[in-house]
Amino acid sequence: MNRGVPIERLLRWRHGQAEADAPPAPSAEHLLELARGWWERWPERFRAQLMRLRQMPLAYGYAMSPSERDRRGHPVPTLVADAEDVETYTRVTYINVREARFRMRFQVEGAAIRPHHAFDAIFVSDASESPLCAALAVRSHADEYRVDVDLPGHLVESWGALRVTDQMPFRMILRPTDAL
Amino acid sequence: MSDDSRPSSPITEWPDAWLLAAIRAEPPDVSALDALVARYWTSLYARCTLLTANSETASDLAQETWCRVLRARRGLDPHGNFSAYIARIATNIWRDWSRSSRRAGPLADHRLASLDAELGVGDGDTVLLRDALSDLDALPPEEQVALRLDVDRVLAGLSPRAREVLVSRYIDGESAAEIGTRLGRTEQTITSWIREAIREIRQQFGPSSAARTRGGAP
Repeated sequence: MNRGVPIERLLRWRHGQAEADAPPAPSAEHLLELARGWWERWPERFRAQLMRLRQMPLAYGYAMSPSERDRRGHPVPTLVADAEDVETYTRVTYINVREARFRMRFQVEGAAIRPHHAFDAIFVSDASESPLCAALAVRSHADEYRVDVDLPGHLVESWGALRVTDQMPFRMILRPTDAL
Repeated sequence: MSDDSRPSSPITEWPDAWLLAAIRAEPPDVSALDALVARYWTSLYARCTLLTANSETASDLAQETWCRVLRARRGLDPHGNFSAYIARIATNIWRDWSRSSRRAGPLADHRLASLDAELGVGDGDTVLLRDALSDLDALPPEEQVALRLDVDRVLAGLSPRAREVLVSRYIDGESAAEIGTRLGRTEQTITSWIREAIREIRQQFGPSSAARTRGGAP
């Protein structure tokens, strides 16, 4: 006698049980409030940070030779929004877009920036007053931060072609998650 | 959507495409969002329950999934497969959450080659219970409760990644090749993960579980 229950049937059964036990759906208004990013909750501060970030030169303080730039990539102007806003640069060490999933690793330069477990990373451009996208950047080994996020559709093609040695089409605002 | 073209049917009966178009608008249509959330909440919560093996975390994950969808709402494709989209978002967030706590466990890559050798195709993908049950819902209520506790215990014992691939394979019906493409792994690697997860489930569904499902003392 076949005494086995297929895994699929067992999981589907448990899935059905969970559906029956689901708590009430949250209201749309509640979800919309939760979904607001900090840049929407404090738009004036975001605008001030955006202006400050745009004033940073693309390679301020970096007297890199072309070969070094080719090897290490261009520094990305970055504002770390901690207790006070600190201008710095980040170095992209890995970048990849696959199936609309954006994966990036970067290092924050500057000894004055204390490490955090994670940053809320906002990607901005010179051409838009709104963030291009937002992602959680989690610290991993070697003081790198790792981003792994679904990319908005309009960015998939252009960001998909990026290499770490390219000049990045964004600047970043990093806000420690414990400051949110 | 213009007022002229707005359908007269109740909003709860609107197809996803209409609801998504209304949510993409600025400001978003709150009623349309309520209808869409209601339509997908239970299935999303159930998926999150299997992924997290924890009802409270499942609720948080489902809520965060909607937040992530709403933050990208202007890019929503009204003609896309929203069910698959929201499932993928939930899985991706779950992967983010579990990544920091993930450690090299029983499914570490370096162990996979030997696992391939240990498990033959003939092992199938079944779990042994005392009786061959054609309908688990036909079990007496108390046995359903016991079985559910067993399933939850077993799922909680798996790694987050193992739960993810099981959900993709058996709830979404994705092939190992499709999962591999999505995760950037080979089909063989995914197959090995699934086999190892099944083996762990089998091991954890030990004699005590079988006893509980026949209603006897463990």
